[in-house]
Amino acid sequence: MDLDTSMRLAYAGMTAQTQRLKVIAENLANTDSTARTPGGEPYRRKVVSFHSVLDKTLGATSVAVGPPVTVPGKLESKWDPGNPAADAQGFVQMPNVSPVVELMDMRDAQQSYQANLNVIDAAKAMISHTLELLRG
Amino acid sequence: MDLTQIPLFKAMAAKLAWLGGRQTVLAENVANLNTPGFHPSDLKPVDFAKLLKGETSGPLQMVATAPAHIGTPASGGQANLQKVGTGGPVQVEEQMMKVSDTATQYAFTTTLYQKQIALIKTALGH
Repeated sequence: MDLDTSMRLAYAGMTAQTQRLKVIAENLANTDSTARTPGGEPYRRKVVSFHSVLDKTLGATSVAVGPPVTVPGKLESKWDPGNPAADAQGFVQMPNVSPVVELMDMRDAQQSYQANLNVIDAAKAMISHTLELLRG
Repeated sequence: MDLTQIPLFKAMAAKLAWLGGRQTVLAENVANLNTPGFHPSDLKPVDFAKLLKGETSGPLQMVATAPAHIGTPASGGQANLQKVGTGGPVQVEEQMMKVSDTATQYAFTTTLYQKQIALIKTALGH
């Protein structure tokens, strides 16, 4: 049934956004995670990628999430000689997580989730209208 | 009495099927809101007034656009659900407008269907 297909597609979209939100939460939680050893690599920001896939059972284009990818790039150093992760000069490499960027991403994920939820609502209303036909 | 032989009922059933199919296409677009390189699509509009006037016999006929097209099936039924790309990126506002428009039209058509059934019942003296 067509309306069932749209509900399943919206569900796939919501699952994808949830995955994205999970990675965003991971990034935010690790905003200050430095290395354990002196001069080591701190936590690096992760992102997920979406791609469209043809769902053969539904016969429609669904969405899938790829595994989280670590973002490369230059890391900022902070002078903190007391930190266990500090190198010989007393500098600690900090994660490349920007809370503002993560918050923006979070808003976007939330908005897309809401959009999928609206699709489910609309499909549900359409199904109940179809059932109303039985009441003549 | 076969309701599907009445042009109005036939047109309404086709419209409901078309709206259901459109909702699926819109769900695809919304699910892929954040997919890079995804291009949204929509269903090709169908002229239901033409269908109502009985200009097409039976289920919608496939159009023969080239001389090589022979023997288009008479009982296509699904042939009217033609997906076309709308181009550009997926815009959440546009998709939401379309979703609510489709749901409203669906409600409208089902109500009309009920009213027509009630009319026939009246004629039958029920």
